[in-house]
Amino acid sequence: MNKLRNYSLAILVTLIAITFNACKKDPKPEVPEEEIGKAELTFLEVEREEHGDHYHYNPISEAKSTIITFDSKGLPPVGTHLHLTEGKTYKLSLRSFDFANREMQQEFLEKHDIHQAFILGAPDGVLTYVYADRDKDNKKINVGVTGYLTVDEHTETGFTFRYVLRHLNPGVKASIMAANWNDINFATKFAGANDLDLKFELHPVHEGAHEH
Amino acid sequence: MQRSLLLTSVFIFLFTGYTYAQTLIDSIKLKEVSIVDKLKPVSRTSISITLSEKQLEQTKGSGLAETIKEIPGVSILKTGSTISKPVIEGMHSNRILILNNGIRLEGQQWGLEHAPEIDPFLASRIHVIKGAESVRYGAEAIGGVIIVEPPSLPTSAGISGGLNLIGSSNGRSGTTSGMLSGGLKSLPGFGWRLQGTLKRSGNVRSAEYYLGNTGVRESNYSAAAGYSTGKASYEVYYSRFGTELGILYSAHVGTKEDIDARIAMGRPLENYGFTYNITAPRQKVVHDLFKAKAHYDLTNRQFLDITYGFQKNQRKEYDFRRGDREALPITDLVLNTHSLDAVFEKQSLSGTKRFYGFNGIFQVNNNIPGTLANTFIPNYDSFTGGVFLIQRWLKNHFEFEGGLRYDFKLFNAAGYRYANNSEGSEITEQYYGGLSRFHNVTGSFGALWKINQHWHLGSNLGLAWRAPTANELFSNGLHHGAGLYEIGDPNIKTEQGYKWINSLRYYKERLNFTLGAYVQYINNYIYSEPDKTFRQTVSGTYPIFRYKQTNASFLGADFSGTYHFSEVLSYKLNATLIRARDLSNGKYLPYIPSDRVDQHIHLDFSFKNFSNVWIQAGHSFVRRQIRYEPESDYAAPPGAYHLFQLSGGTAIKIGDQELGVNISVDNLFNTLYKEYMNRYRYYTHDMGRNITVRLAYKF
Repeated sequence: MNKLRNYSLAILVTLIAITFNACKKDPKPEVPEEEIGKAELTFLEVEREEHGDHYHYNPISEAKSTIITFDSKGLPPVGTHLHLTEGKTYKLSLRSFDFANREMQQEFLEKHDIHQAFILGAPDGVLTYVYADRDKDNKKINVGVTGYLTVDEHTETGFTFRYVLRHLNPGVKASIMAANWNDINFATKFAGANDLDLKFELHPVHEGAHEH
Repeated sequence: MQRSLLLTSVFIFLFTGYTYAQTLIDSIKLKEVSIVDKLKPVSRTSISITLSEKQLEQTKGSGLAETIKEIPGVSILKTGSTISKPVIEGMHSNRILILNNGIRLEGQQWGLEHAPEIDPFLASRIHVIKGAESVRYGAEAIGGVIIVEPPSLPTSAGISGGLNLIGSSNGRSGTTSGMLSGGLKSLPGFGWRLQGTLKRSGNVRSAEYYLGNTGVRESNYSAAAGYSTGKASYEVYYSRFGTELGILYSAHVGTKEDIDARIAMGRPLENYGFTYNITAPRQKVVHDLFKAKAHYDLTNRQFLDITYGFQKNQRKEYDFRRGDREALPITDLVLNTHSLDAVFEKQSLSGTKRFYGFNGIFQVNNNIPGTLANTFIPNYDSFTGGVFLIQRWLKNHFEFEGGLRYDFKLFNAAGYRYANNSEGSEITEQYYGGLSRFHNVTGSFGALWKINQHWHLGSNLGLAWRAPTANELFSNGLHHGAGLYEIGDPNIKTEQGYKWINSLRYYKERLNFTLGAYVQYINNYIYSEPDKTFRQTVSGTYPIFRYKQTNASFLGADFSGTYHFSEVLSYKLNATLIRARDLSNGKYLPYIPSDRVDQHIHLDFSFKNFSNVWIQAGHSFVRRQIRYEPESDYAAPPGAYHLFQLSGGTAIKIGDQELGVNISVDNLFNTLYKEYMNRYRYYTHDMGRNITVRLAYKF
């Protein structure tokens, strides 16, 4: 019976030791990087030059860029309303920032096999978009960090322009053609999640139209 | 001396709050001779079903949930084809308890996509208790208890063992499991056991297409040693369960738009071939368990059991992430659990037994920093202590058992989260947590009436409880891969379940059956549902799910019967029915198994040199779940389905050794179907035909 008491005491001592030595650690704040970030879309007018079955896009020296900023909820400043002009072409560039305001759009290009942007919201025949990204070997890839947006027609009123950068499930990208740039069924056809979903009001106007 | 022992135990309890009830060994003292017999670790007044070693052999190679799904009233909550959780009469996760070799399994059970960390190869028997038996087993036994019981340790010299080789066509899976046990001639009473399992499976196939990223790897092993003297026995045990499993690519969803789009398709558009590779989204889980147990015969009719358990559960979950972050876990948790159980048993000459128990659990949960993702649950210390008293009376035709228990729980949480408060405001870092206290008195009463040698009637009334889990209290963040934003409620109260379950058993030569019926009322039933608002983020909008409480009722019946037409031919029928309601809101509850009927025709015969050949043809019918709330679910439940199964086997004697051969074909006609209890039913179909060959060599 003494033995038994010793065993019980041994267990007691062990448990007291455990109780006082093992407690939760002080929590450390984690920055949920994928959930926090800001983004910018820049529109810069370029000259579109026809070369047989494709176009060349040349810089215009005096062109001024328009930048739309988006907060961590993917929203632009209140009242954002952008006019682009019928017949003109714009270089559309994405800058994406992580929680510490470091640029991170290069990550989308490095993993171009699982990323692709879709340009949505425009009525049929109003916009044409061409992907213009290059990988590290300068090979053409379709991601949408850089592209050219041509305004083919003006519209009477503005519409919600939507830039969705898709993080695609493995193997999905192979089924996406450049012509799918404005596929409204992207969520059905191209499984994955969105890294960015940016929306603002765009109004394609004809040349000479007044700002409003 | 007895008093001092008890005081020591109480002292242990007061200091650390460990222990829970357990009566694995029943001893009968006959003057000089001590007969120690390993009985069912389940009270006779419990409403329970036991799967024998022979029954377990027919499903070897499956996970725990698949292994016990043949029991009427037991179903499976699946997350794709790789994650299965057992469901007892509509209850799962933290509403059921799993005892692994006498230690209650403590992992991150709160997650619907967190499977129990148990290797079923370890089991020689599995018992499923369907009553609410919190008094004996502790908090969370609201819906029932699963007891995984390994074989007894040998006490004499000699080596014995077994080797299992299992191959399945679907997933091209291979499993090897071996067990070796023995004793020492020079040390009578000493025994040891070694056991290990290796499993590998690749992408499984529905009837028409492969399910991308559904591979599984598993590596488990355990070692045990024990020593018995005339008046005491000691046992130490260690096991490790390690798994890595893929999560179906097609079920990874982002925003509400994605969810709607995937549901509209109902199946993946992408074609994935076969591979054993597992990539993100995936889970990597390691569960270590150490147990030390001592049993003492204090007098002829007084016994003491002391059991200490330590468990370390490490869970890493990897998701699709930006850049190179897929190598970083999005969830990285380590849960350490210490438990101490002490049970003092006193028998009277009349056969009456009384159990005094102290038990407690001390848990430490930590998030491992560096996930660069919102921590879903906080770091916490949790301390649960309980005391109980159980009295058992034996009469000629009756057995009664009544018990009372008091539990308390301290839960001290601390965490940071990023909160996105009001429109236009920046995301801010917030500290949260604090100390919560819960306590509860539970009770149970069970009776068994042996009407005659053919009819037995059992009844069990139990009050069980559970404290809210860390995620129910504190979750606040995007549930990656599930496309929803979950918000807990720190004011959630304890949940109390009252279950009255009855079982009528009939045994006769040709016919035997068990009919069970139960009614359960749950006060403060915790659940989550969409609150019809959305969280706007830079990647889109996500539906917000909030944890709430209601009062719920569960009503159901299970039937299992076998009719032997002859020694060769028998017919078995199992049927299960559950009706559940949210009483406060007059609604149906989600994820309640639909009505199910399983039937088998079984042939047992001899053929040439094979003395025990069996062939079985089975059919399962599962009704469509029509009791659901359209606004709380993404899509209507899938349709009813029929599945057919064919299996057969024999055992070949080779001298003193035995080779068992068993072949089964599940989903015989390769039916394309969806099961309501599969959380990925929105995106994909269930598994197609699967042919499994099992070889079991015993020596």
